[in-house]
Amino acid sequence: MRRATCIVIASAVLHGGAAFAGSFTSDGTFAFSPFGSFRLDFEGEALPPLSDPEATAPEVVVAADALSGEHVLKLGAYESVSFSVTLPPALQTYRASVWIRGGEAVGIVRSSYDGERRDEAAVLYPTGRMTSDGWVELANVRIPLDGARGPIAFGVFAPAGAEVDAFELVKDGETTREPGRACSGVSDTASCVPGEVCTWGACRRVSGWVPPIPDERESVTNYLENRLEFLFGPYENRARDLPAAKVAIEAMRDAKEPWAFWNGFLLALRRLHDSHTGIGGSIAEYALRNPRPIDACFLEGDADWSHDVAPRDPLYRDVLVSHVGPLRNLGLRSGDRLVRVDGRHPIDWARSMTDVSWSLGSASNHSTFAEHAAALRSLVSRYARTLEVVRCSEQGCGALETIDVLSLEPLGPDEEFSSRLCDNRPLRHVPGAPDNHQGAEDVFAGFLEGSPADEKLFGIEWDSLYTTTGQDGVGPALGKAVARIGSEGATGVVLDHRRGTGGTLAGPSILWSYAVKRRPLTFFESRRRAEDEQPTLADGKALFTAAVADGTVDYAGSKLANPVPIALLITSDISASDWLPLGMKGAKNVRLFGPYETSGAFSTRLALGYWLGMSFTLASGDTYVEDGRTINGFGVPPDEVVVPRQSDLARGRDTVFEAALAWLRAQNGGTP
Amino acid sequence: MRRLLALAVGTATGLFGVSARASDFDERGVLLPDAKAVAFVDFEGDSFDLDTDYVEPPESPGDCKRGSTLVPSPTALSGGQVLHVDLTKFGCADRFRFRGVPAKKASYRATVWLRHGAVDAQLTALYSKESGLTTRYAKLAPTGRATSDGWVELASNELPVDGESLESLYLKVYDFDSVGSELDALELVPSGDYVEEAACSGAFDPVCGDEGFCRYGRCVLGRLHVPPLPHPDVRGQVVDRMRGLFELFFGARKTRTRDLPRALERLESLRSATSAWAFWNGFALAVRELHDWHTRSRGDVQFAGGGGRLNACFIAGVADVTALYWPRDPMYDDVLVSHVGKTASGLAQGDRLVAIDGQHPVAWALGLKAIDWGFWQACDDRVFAEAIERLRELIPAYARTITYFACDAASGACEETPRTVEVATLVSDEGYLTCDNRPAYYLTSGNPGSDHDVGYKFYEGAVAGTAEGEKIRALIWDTLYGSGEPNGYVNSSLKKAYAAFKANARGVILDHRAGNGGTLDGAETATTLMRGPGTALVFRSPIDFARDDGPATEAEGLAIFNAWKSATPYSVGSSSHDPALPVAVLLHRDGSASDFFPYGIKGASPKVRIFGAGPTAGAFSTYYTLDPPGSLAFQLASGDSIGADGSPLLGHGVEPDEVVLQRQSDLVAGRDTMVQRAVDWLRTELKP
Amino acid sequence: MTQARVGWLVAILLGGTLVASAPACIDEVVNPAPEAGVGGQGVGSSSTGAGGAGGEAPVKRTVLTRNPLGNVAVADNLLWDGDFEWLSAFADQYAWLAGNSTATIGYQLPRQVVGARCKSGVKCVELKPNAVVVGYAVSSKGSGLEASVHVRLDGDCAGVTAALVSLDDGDDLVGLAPKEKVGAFCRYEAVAKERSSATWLFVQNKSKEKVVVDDAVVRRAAQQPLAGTVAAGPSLSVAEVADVRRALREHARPMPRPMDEAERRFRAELERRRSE
Repeated sequence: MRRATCIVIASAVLHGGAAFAGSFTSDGTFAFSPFGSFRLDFEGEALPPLSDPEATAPEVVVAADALSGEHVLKLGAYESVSFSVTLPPALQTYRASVWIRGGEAVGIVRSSYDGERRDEAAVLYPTGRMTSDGWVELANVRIPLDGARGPIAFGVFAPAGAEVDAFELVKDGETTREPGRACSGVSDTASCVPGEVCTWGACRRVSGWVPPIPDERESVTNYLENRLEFLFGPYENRARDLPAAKVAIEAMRDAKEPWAFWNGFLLALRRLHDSHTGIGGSIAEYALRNPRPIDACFLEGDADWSHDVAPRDPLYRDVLVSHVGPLRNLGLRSGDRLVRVDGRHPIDWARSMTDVSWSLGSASNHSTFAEHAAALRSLVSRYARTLEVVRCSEQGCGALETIDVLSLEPLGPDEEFSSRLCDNRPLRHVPGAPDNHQGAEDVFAGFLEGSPADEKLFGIEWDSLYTTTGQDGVGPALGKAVARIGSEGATGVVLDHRRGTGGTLAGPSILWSYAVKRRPLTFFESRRRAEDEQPTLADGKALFTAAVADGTVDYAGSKLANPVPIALLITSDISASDWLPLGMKGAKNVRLFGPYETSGAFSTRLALGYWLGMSFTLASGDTYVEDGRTINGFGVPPDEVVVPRQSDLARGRDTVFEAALAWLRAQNGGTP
Repeated sequence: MRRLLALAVGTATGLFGVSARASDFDERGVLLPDAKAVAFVDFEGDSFDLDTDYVEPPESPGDCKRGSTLVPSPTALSGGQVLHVDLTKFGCADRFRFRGVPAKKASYRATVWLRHGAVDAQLTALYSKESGLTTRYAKLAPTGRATSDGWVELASNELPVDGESLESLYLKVYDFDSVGSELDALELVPSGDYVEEAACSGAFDPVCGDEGFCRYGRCVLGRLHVPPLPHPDVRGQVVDRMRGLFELFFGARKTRTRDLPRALERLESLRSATSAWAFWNGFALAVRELHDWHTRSRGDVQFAGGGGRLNACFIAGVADVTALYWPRDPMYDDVLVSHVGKTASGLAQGDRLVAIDGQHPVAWALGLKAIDWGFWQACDDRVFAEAIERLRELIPAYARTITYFACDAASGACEETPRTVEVATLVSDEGYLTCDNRPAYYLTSGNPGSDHDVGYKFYEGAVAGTAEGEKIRALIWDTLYGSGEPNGYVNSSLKKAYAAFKANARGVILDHRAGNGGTLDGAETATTLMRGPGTALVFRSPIDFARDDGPATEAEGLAIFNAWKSATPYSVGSSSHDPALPVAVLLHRDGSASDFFPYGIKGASPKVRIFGAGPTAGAFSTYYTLDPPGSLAFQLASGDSIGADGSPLLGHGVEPDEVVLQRQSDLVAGRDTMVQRAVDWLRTELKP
Repeated sequence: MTQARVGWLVAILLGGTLVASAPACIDEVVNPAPEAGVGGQGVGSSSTGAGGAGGEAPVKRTVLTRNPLGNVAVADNLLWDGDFEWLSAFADQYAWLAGNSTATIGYQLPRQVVGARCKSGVKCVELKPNAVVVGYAVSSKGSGLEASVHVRLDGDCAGVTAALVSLDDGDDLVGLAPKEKVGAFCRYEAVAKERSSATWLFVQNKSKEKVVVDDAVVRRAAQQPLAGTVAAGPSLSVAEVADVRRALREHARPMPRPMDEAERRFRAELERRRSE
């Protein structure tokens, strides 16, 4: 009885009670709260201005069963609307609510510290109140807003289309906590309070990104813990990482504010340490733009020119600048070295951001950190205070230098910015590859630039292996590129897949069929039982053998494999991009080049999302190879370990590519 | 004719008008017992028998001699006799049972009237072992009612009593003064609801409700350990009085501008408090919000529910062995096991504590602020050494689970996955282990004992592992309590050690890693080995002017320094110091005089180097203690110190010249990272 | 505690708030006559607002209060998302496969419904005639399974087929038997003996009208049954079972559903903002 009582009481908290929210008369007619500071039901009055003056005006239609009055706002699929709302010039907290019908939609309130940029976002989630004619209330509470700081934006986004009615903002409390208090990075222990994270130099209220702590805290916590315990598939990661994930779940049981509760679950997912398992995008992340973006990409390497200035770390590889854009690059250039972030090794520091960063992923293996290196430019601008760098030129490197991240000027209100893609490729080598390294869904192919025409060395640079039929995604372009190898008489091929974002097995099959002889490769099995743990080698072998017999094993290659030497370049390669080198490895005409093993994400995942505010993916199984091992959590190692060297980067050279080129030339009897 | 004085908020210590009233007085001032009372003892005739109503101390029956007597008094509050309590010469409290307590579950308030002297009184419910119930008690505190002939009323909050399992319900009383105290009109009145003593897990287990918290696996009923809720007539005045204390006298530049507003907000919320626990715990929390090393609240509640600590000490460090298995926290250092005693519940030196109830240990400890009356923090917002040092006592009291990586000294390796264990399965210590932030001792002879109890002692000797010709010596000590006596124990011990160093050492380690502070003269003496004379700062504590927020600008600060450098200087160094002798100062958890000492030598000479895990506490002031009758006390820091550069120092700990965190790999191997690093540096600087 | 009992408890307590007049507990007063056909028996309460005199004026709408996270009382549900509360428009591989028939089962998302038509929580899915959803659950080592699912349909409960399917021939095809219709919902139940491979909950609309599926549970059986219950309602043909198993086998491998241009653009922009 006590728990059920709590359901009612806590629901009342989220509903706010009649004083804080619209309520219903005895015949079910909706009535706004008499204490509201803003209400909008599309009846009569002129619509408030749109927060984006260039957006198209929303469609207001007559509806006999409108929640309030006789009109509703109609949104089509992937349409959104956001109104500019002026509130009283005083800092106080509000309950924001809106009613939707007909499909999942999300409400969002964005506010500004200075009247220019959107600095804070609060996402509206279902309160549990709904009506017999299909209306569902979305709300969030205790949102601090100050009308003196300019109008706020109050909007709705509907990926599947929806009807919207009864926007409402009602004061629900007082606060003396000024929004946007300055702070000096996430390690600042003095400035921010629980429910805030120091991001981009200000204490941002992340507790508005998530729903309130649910009424049935214990049941919800147990339910979510069981999703991991019952359903998470990869055996190696279950053994090594599930205990750590459960520790984060434990913290949910007495979390005192919403962020601590919900981030406990989302942190548990991140602690599973698997490329297929993580946090999907949140509408809150979409709503906020980085005011201080950095256009520089980092990768792990060997700082051979600067170990006298800063010795190598015993645990982590050096972090080097791979490539930069012309603007907002902190004055860095290719070959410079990032020595420390807030006093810690950059990878050590980046890994510690797992606690706060929803977007940070990790490899499924437990020894490589390519994902953390690539994420550094984003993490640093969000969460760091100081960087220690060594700047280098073609002649050598200088002394240790400190950069204050907050010294980077914020983007102007109308300033456009587009960044490089961090793809682990210091240089691009095929015709048409864009200078900004973008084009993650494209395939770039042709004879290698900088190689004599008579060498006929061909190159393909691409990231995605997504195709379901071979006729969608990268399928046609990849097929065409492979066909050109033969049709144009290439004598060797560089497959540059150093940012392999995965896809489906139909992707690597296009290359396997060209490059290697057919052989049974792997057997993927979705998780069978809640209690399953690592099977024995014998059991695994029996499963694989049975899969060969019943045709459920995955094959790599074809009878007509081509003998042209192929150098496959790897660095950060996930899922289907793990399978690609796995299927190529061992073939006589193929050699893998890279700094270390691929991610080891030999699974697939399912995706779940809660009202576009919190979403996650969870790996659903594991993959067996012929000897009975399961291989999720174990990447494919390169045949030749090649680590990008600082001395090469500083002189405009691409260490890994050049090693591959030398091997191809040697295969063809040329001089490396 | 006796007159009842009106309720009043007396002194700074406060007299607290209680909401519910018991006995009353007629117009002639004659006491009228409460009609609902189940017991009324006015120490007359049949109501009381000194022999048969006396209760032997349960823990040591027969060890104590009764110190109370019945004496005739024409001004007795009721009848003609009072109980005269004079115990200081016996050293034991007296206990007197209530007769006729109903054999049922109920809740009672006790009141008694006091004249002369001062007593500590508590209502205690003692249960038989077979009942499985633990002894519960409620302290008595002044209600604010007093009479014109000197009687003062004391009352307890409501004590739940299971009359069926009760062995005895008694008043325990102890008096503090040399003349004794008089008691009369002891009364027991049913009041409040019976509250079962519930089992619980984790400090904030909801089963304990809003009026308590969970400690050592049992719900602590907060009201039993605090004074009564001030009567509505005076509640606002009590808050005003506390607010006045904070605003007028407390703090320094940093704590007044950053922390005081939070504390005042907390105090304001007490005006609407509806229970004794909400009010007094709220007050204690307001004190903790002041964020000052010297500023503490203390209360009987700190000792509720038993005791016991883990027989292991924790320390901030770098978990280099397990870094790949568990990333560091974005805010806090790693927490490692520094050293252990016997029965350490499986913990070993070098183990890494990654979580308590799912949170980083420091975050978890800080989260206890709402109920932990022993909460202790540095003035400097970046320092958490105090919280980490207290983990060994906080874990058994408040945690459900701990999660750690176990390491093995023999192999030097640690497990790749963490262990999570239930705190209830851990063993509290039976021995006595001190946490002094020294993983191991390193003198060739004469080291402190395995209990790490450095305390007030000084240990001096050669450093193990160094060559005789290097003449590297060390002093290990924690106190700077010079007590103003130049030739007192602490000052003379320092001088003696320094003289030996100047005569025989080529390099010195001053190991002060559990710097408990002391007095300014002790800090001054500690600086005489390694620098020439000078005035490092002026000591402006307590504050001179009410509501003084301290210097807002460098110019204001310099003006204060120049004005006071002759009157209240912190005079450091000595003309007879040894400029050629390299000195490595090791710090870890250092406050007050142990802040002044490193501040006085910082940057004084290239031959002096401070090694530490982070800044010191930054407690550059002194404090005053206020100890009201009842079951709580608190102390407030007042004032600041102003450096020669005009900067107000409190809240800004002394930065080490070299940050050295204990490495997990060293601890697992039994090595002390900081000592190793200090010796390496000394070897580059040895005195010729 | 079962779903129904939770709903009952909450309803009683809401009624209790009237008697005890504890407005802090809820801002709505219970209407003693909830509107028919909106699943008032679901988790939550039905009411018509603050007037208190429900039933006198013609009721325009009924207001319900439910746990927006759905049926979390069954914390040990072995289905990935038995209540559809975590069904997102952005899921490229959701935990329920869907199809217009058994021949077209894939990762395309089932048609989502939000609001009071659902049995519990806020989200559920709609099946057109002949349409199918297949939900992924893990089985349990050493334990049989109890399965249930609720379907809102106008006609007879026999208009829907529900069964436990798996890829292992050794695991029985177990039909879920329809129980009595409560309000607008038919509840289908089954008990299955221990299974060696993953269990998929198959639901197909074999009626002529649209139906709504919600609140599906697969959990460990209290005791090990000797045999599964017998399939009831329109049974699955051999060809249909073969279709389902083929789809399950294909979609065990990575097979994200294709995205339309709007979704692709939104995802690309979100990814860019996260990586900047």
